[in-house]
Amino acid sequence: MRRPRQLQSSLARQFALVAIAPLLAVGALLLLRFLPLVESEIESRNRTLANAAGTQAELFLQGPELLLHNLRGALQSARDRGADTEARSILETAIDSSPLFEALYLVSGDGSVREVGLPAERRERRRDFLGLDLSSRAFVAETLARDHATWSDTFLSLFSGEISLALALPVGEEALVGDFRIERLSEFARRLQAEGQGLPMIIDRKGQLIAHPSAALSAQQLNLSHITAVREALDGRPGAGRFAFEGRDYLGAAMPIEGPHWVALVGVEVGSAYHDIREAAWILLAGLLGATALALVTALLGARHFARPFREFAALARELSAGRYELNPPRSRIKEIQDLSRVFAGMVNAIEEREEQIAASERKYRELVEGTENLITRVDAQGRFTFVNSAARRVFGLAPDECLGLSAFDFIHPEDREFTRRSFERWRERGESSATIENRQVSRTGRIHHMLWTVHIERGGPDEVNGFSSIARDITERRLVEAANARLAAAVDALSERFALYDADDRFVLCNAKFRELNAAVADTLRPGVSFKDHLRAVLDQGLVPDARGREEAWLVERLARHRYPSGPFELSRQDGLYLLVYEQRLPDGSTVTLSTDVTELRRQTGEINQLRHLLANIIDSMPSVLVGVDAEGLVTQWNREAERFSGLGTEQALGRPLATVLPQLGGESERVQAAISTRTPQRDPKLTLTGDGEIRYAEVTIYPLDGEHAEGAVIRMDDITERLRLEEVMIQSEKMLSVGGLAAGMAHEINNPLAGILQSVQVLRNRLDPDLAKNAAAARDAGTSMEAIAAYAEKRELPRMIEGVLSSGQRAARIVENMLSFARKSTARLEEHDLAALLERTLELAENDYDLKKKHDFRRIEIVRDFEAGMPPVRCEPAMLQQVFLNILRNGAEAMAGYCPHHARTPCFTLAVRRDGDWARVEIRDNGPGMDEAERRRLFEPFYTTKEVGVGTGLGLSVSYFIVCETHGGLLDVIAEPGAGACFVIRLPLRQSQPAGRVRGEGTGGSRAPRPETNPT
Amino acid sequence: MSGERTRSVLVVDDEAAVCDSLAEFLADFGYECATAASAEEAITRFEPHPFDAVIVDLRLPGMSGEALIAALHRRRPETAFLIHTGAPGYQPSAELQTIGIGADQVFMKPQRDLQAFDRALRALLSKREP
Repeated sequence: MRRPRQLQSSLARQFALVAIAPLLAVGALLLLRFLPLVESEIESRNRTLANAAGTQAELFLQGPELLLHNLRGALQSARDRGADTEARSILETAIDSSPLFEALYLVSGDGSVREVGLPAERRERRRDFLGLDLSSRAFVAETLARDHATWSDTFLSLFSGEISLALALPVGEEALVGDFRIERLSEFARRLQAEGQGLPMIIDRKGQLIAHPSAALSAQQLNLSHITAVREALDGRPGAGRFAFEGRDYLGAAMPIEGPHWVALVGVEVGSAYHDIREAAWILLAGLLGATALALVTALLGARHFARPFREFAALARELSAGRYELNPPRSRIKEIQDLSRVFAGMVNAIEEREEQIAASERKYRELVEGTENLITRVDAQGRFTFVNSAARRVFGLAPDECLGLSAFDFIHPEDREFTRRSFERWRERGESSATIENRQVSRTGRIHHMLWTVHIERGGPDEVNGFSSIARDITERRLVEAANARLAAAVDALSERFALYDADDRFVLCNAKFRELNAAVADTLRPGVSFKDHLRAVLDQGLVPDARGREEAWLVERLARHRYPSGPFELSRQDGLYLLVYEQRLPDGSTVTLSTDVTELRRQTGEINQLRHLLANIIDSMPSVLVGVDAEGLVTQWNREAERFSGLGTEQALGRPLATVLPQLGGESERVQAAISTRTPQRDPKLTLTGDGEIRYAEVTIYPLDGEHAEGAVIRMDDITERLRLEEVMIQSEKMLSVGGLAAGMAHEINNPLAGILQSVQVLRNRLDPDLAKNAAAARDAGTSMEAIAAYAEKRELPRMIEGVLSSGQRAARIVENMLSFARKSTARLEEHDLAALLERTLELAENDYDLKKKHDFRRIEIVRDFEAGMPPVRCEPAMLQQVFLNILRNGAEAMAGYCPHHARTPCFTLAVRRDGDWARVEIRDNGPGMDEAERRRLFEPFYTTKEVGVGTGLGLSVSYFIVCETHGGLLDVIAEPGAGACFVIRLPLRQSQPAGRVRGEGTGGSRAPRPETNPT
Repeated sequence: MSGERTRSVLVVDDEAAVCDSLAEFLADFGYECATAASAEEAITRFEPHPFDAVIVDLRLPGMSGEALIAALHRRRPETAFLIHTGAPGYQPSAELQTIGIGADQVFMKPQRDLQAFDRALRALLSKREP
């Protein structure tokens, strides 16, 4: 901000400016207008001077020329008289009489000095000069060529040894030359200067200075042709202008001098040229300074005069603001100031009156502030008290003079300090002007007051807070009530039940959150004053009670009656699937409390328990085991369906009766039952033998003790394990058989080598009895006999027949080994596709070589009828195992037919068929033997079932076959038979199977798959 | 057989009866025969005098018949090999198949007709005829 200007200095400045400005203008005008005039005046004066100097120079130079002309006349007249010798004396006389020349001489036509005239003091050197050749001097030659006087340029005189000029004039064939002393010209210039003509100078035609008032300068041969005025004059025009010479500035004019073509230059030093003007300027400046000083003094005095009353009024105002009202306004003769003084005096009186009113008002408000129960405080921006009323002092426990300057925050409860401080900061930042806040105050005595503050923020500007004025109400009592209410509400809300309270007029008072949540659809009926009936109506309108549907009015009446005269809890179902158990209770004041509990989950669990019970009963009933529960006395408590089936007794007949009575088979188990109950460990009878129906069956019995907490007792489980035991036996037998097969395979391999030795040697032997073989003939010859003789001998001794016998026997042995091997071939290999008919053919071949079949049943006698369907696809199978099946069936049939056919006329016959049967490949092996009855048929595949006398068969062949077909190949083995009608074994194997069935079945049934022996391939 | 070069055959088998009788049989059919009771002996015989064909038993003491075939094949690739084994269902190993030994070159013991060896040798050796 610019500093305010003082009235006095401001006025003074303005006055001074007005006085000085015209003077400055006049001065500037003078300088600009008259300076050029003065300059041109000086120039014209110079020009005149130069002109005059030139003219005077011309006149001055006419003197030497005239002298030479006179001499020429004298010389010519002397020559005409023939007195040429007088020339010397003429010349010497002329020198002596005139100071202009320092030497005069005659130069003959060839340029040599013929005669010379010298001043008297140098005449003894005359002979030195005679005969000097001056032809090199240009002006001499020039002079000889024409008829008028010629001035030379400056040169160093031979005669005087100084810078000279020469003036030459032709005399007949010769030239008369005078060496002119430059000093003379300088003297001339000095003379001109002395006449007050400025600085005169003469410059020759080359621009060289030849005359100057100072002879020394003249002799320096200075060239001044660079001066513009000089150059113009050399060109024949008068010139003028400024130039510098010898370090000074000149105003000059130059004029050409006729005759020698020289130039006269006259310069006036610039300093002296402007001398007059400078003087005038000094006078003007002095006048200006005087005028300025006068103006300043006038201005200062005038300004002080005007500013005085203002300063006095300012002083009065200061007094007034300090509260002094006895004042004299300044006196002045100026009317405006007198008016001002009067107004000022009136104003002082008005202020005095108003101040008294304010004081009265303040007293009134102070009484109000101090008298109120509310707390009124003011704090500054730093939070220190600047005012605290009596109510506040009481709360804080402060004496009246203690509070000022204390920090207001010290009286805020420590837990509330931080948020209070933050609130203040927030108001400050947001620029709010008022706000409310609740906090706790702690008095000096430690008592806590809850306060509700209204705070006014006093601002000095948008970002500036001067302090806070606050009014507070003590709401401690209200807080305590609120807190108690809140605890009550929280307690009610915390109830897991839905809670509602209705007053004696059945109007809503309060409810908890759970109740509100339950009745969210009718939330507007949960307002104080709404009647319970309206609430129920709204509930019905929303269709929240499915039981009331269609009989809303009746339900409403019942429900209201229950509400008014509570008679115990009742259940209520809701539209949203909830089941509520509602308790209502009248309070002494006639109001009613409603409590409802969610029993949905309870109902669901009850339902689940019933379902579970049902399921459990089902499970127990559907168990394939006999399950019987008994109590500690051995009386039946549980009887499942399998027990009914097994015993033929219904549940009603069995329950409550002793175990031994209803299940006599378990009569021997009563000790175990007691043991299980007393030791609380399960008891087990792994193999109980059951007899009946002429069939022996086995059972496994397990007795589990029951937990004694509810009822002591046991559960008896009985499983029929007959089948399992039989299967286990089959497995054991199969394993035995197959391990015998493995042994046979290992032996067969060992047999092959010696067999090969036998067969090969016999073949060699046969070859070597061949009479056609050349080698044989040669060997016979060497032995002294002939092959014919040997052949005859061999024939006689039946050697070939015996060799063939060995060969035949060996080959048969080889085939037997081969077949044994094909049985035992490692069958862990995957099922592979094979042609069933071919497999059947190989089995037939095998059967023909079977010792038992061949010897005992004369298998070769049996007729074989083949009925093979053409184009049968190959079947996935394990050929060795399938061959075993075929062989077993063939052997079984052969045995049956052998014991039957001889007594009949018919030939034993197998009819073999291979054909498609839907998704199966069907192989039929039918015999025309005695057939069998139903009981026989049913037990046919049972292990160890045999109709043969002991030692004839193992009774395992067909059961092993059954397992191979069903288990390993996933097929079916069946037999169709009637007594007297033969038997037909039907093997069905699956066609087009993506997976080997045997594998799936084998893995799925675990141990039921028959293990096979490992055979060594080498 | 006249006009044909006499073919040399080495029979390798640890069973003397098998080995000798086969060699004798083939000698009668015009082959120049030698025998060896082990793979190591076979290699010793083969070194100075490579045979046109070798008949090998698989189960030999020490080095196996398959290893022997592989070794001799490396020594002289144009040698013909026949396998004579008592192991039922034997199939040439992958290694032997890569050097061109197929199932038709496998003969099971006991061989009922030894002339089968002669036929097989002729077929193999004629293929190797330059």
